[in-house]
Amino acid sequence: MSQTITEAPAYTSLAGRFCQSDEPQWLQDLRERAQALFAQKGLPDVQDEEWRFTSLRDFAKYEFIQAEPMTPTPAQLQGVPASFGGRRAVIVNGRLVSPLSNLPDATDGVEVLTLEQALTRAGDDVRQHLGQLLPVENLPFAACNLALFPQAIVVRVAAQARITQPLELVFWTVPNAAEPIVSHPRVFVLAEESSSISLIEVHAGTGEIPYFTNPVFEFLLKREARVVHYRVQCDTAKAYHIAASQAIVHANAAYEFFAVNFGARLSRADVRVRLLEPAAEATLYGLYRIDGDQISDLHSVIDHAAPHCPSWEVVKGILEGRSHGVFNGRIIVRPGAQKTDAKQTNKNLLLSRDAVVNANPQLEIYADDVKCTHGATVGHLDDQALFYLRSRGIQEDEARGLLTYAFANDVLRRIDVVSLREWLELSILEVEHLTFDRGLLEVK
Amino acid sequence: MAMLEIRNLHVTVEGKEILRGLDLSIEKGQVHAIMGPNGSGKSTLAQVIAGRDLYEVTEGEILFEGKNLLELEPEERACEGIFLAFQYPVEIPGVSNTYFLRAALNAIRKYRGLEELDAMEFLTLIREKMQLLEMNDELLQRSVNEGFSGGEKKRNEIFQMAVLEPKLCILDETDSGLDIDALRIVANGVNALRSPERSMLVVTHYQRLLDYIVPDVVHVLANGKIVKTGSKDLALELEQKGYSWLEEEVLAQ
Amino acid sequence: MTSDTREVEQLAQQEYKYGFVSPIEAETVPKGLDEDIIRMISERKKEPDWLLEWRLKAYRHWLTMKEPRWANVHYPPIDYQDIYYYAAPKSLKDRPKSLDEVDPELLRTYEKLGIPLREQEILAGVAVDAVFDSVSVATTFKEKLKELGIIFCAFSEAVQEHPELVRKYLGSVVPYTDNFFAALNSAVFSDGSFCYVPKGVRCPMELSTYFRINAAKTGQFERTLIIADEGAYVSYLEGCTAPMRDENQLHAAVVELVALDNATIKYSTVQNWYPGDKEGRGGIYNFVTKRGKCLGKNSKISWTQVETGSAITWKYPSCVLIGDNSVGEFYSVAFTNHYQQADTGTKMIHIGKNTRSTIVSKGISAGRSQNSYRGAVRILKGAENARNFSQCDSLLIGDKCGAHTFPYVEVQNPTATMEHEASTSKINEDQLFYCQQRGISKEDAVSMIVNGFCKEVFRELPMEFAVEAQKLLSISLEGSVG
Repeated sequence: MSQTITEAPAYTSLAGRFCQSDEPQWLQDLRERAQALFAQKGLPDVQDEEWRFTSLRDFAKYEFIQAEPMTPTPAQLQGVPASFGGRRAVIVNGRLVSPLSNLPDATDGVEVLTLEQALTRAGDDVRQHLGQLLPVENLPFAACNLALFPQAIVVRVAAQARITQPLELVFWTVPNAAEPIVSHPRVFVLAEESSSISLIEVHAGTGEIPYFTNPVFEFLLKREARVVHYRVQCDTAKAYHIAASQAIVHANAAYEFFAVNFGARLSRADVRVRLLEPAAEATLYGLYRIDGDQISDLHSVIDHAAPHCPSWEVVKGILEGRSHGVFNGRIIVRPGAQKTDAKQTNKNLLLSRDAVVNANPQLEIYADDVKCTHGATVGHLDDQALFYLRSRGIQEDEARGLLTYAFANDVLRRIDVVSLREWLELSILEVEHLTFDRGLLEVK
Repeated sequence: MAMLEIRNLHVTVEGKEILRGLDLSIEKGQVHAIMGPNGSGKSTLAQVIAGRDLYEVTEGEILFEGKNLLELEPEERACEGIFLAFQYPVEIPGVSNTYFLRAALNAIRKYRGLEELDAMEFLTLIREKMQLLEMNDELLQRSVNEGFSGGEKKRNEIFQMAVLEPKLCILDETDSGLDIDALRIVANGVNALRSPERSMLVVTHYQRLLDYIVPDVVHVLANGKIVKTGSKDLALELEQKGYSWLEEEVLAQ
Repeated sequence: MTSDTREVEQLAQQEYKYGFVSPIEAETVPKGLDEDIIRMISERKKEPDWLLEWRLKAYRHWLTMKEPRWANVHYPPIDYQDIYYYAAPKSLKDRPKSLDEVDPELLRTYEKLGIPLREQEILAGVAVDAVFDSVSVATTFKEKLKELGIIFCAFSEAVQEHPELVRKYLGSVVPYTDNFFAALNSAVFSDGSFCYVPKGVRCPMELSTYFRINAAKTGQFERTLIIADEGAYVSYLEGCTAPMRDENQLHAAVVELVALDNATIKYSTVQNWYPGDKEGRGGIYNFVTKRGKCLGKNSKISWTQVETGSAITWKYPSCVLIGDNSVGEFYSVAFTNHYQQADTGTKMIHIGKNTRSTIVSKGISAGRSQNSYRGAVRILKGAENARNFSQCDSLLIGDKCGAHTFPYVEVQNPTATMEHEASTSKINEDQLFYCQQRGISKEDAVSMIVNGFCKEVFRELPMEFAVEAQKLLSISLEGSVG
């Protein structure tokens, strides 16, 4: 338990700061502070309550070097998921590659901008919020991202714009054969008043060489904005993925988030939502399926800072092999956040003898007129259900697959983008070989 | 002076006006029925008389035996003799029915300057009243209304009424969810409590209950006001014709 | 109820009923802590060398430890050199042989607390060990229990008379290395209760210890050890009170339970240490380590606690389920008001096959208090078919208090089933109105609803304690309803 990482070489390679003389001063200041913070705190160890169940010992063996801009060959792009039917930005090793992308036009109501462009389009919001919506004090990797990200992408959805096609951000990593690389993607999503958009964020890569992806997303939802955020992490089996995101939700706005995880050797996500004004809404769905030596760690914080806000969270895990799943879900209800209605559920399916799950739901409540519940379960496939299916002539393997599918489907069926849902069903659940009628499983 | 006197009552809920100038007068010993379509404000009236604070009285007054009810807390109204048989009786986990009822009875007795009953006296009293409602002993040991069927809950309300001996009984949709046998038991219980000293206000959507609890006066509530008052025959008329003709009549005025 | 209420009202006017100080001259060791003090305590108790050695090892280990800071409680640093680690009524210097030799002032104190120590006056069926500051005053029904082979006596007496048992089990459940406060207790513990129930014996009466802190600036560090041998059964009760003082006093106890094959231990606590005043001045810091080991097959340990007192409560009665088919239970009511802080819960460690555990926790926060449930359920690899069910409900009274739930769950066995549910809400307005419509005042209605909310826990308590607990809760609720 008390292993500390002091001689970690990763520490030095992540300790720098991105310097470019034409960068605005406010950003240089932020970077400097973040760098100092990371230098002071270093890598977290299991003594750190936030990292109690996820050890970085393996991670710390590597010296990750900052990825350089590159143009991938077609062979290096094998495996990039096909379009889900919307506009798309392809980001390779942390940098936008325009020739591979299909960016929206100005007439579409949504823009994918560089920092320079964004400063001219929505200067005040960018200056006030980029790098500042997510406090990095207790998030060393987010601090590291802030100090080091080479390029920020700003997604701006115009006021009143209702974007019907999803916007896809595909983060593709092509590892370097000589040294393992790290990329620090940074995205700021600005949803103006009464706008609406679905955003698909996919992380994936190629090859057998370890790499490290350290993305940070910030969302600002102005009044009555609606953002559905799909986050799919299917990095390679050797990859390390440590992500953080923050959504700030204003009055009557709604942030809906799907975190689907099935890649990476080690995957950690810190997801934070702050319901800042009355009647803001948050919905979080999580689904992970891991096997082998995979570690999946989801830390979520839903922060009710205003009255009359509902939040709803469902996180499901399926564990096989020697995998280790961690869920840490905090719900905070601040003083004065009356009439909060928060519900959180965490369910885990343990399918192997060697898998381990840690579930830590937390309620911190400082207002009285609230309704908050959480539930957590860990279990196996229901023997009775299994027997029932088999007694109807279904093969055991198929029956298991079916029940596992039913378990995961509780999250997947809520994904409105059909092509994405089908792709996930195939990738995570390998359901194509199942012969049953999916309609039978539309439960609840 | 009437036992209950309501004058020009206006009530709003979350800014929406539900009762709009209601007048009602109930003499001692009388049974009044209030009928009306869904959403006409019947249940609101019942809850306002009992003092539910969800409802805001913006105008008018309610006098009970000459006292201004609106100045009293719900428990003071109960102690004065007002009893509301709830449409949806509330469950209170962990608090036994007997304990609850004894606490209520003693609070009311204390208010009236009577000796509180000890456990034995109380048991004797409730055994007698239980027969009236054909209540099962076992229900008394359970938590208040917890795990009761719909019929058991309604019977329990009338049983409480029998024990607390109020002056004014308000029955809010007491017949809803009751089969014919349960309805008969409940009605028998209510009828046994009719007396020249006790008034009743029966709130119902259907005429069915009034076959068993025959009212002296029937009012029709629509749009937050009493729009018609008559004898028990009015209930039958409503049963045949429905409410729409009345609404048209009101609109025509 | 209304007659109860009157009683409640009277009691409430006295606020904390047990806040008096008894005029009893105390003999203390000098303030502060070092090896000499430990030697002095040990010597005063005429302890064997092995025990002194054990204390010193614990002390040396304690010096290397840091006070835990992970709990959701806040208090100024404790000056461990500003505490008396031993205080005993002078009159008890030579252990009295019978109650007739006990200082009448001491007996009066216990009478005032509602715990008469003369056997003929006692509720039949409860044997009491009364601990006053650092020492045991008297143990009732000792002889009667002895006939059955049950040992129930002061801890210090057990050290003299049953050293083999003490030596075998002391620290076997809570080693001195366990945590900061357990290490401190191991170094300086003064007295407490010891109980051994032999094979196949069902203890015919409730055993109970009543703890009283009286002396000022004194910490209480008692140690309780209960062993239920194969097939034995014992139900044990613990109560505690302290005078009202402006300063904070430290109470750091350790309780160890051992259940062998087919044995059952039921341990109930009504904790009513002085909680401090309305402004949060004074009160006991209650930092307690309680743990039971279900060593044997089919053994069972059940904790029930009602926590209404103390300025700060830091306490996690736990079960280590080693024997196959063993059962652990934790039933808790934690009530906080004014500026009280409670961080309490349990740990259930499933090691053996078919082990089962149940957790029912009811937290009620009022005033400006903070109330946290913190629990851990760990199902280890070998715990085939282990089952856990946890239910944690919190009730909030007023908008200045906090209610928090921090369960930690770890499952390493795929045949295990673990379910945890938690909810937080305020008192249901519909319930309140229903009670009021039946003539019950708002304050009584709240008390009734809260008691109902806690019923699942109260019904685990022995009858006398359940009544006591309900009254306590009603008193504590007074003034918290706006």
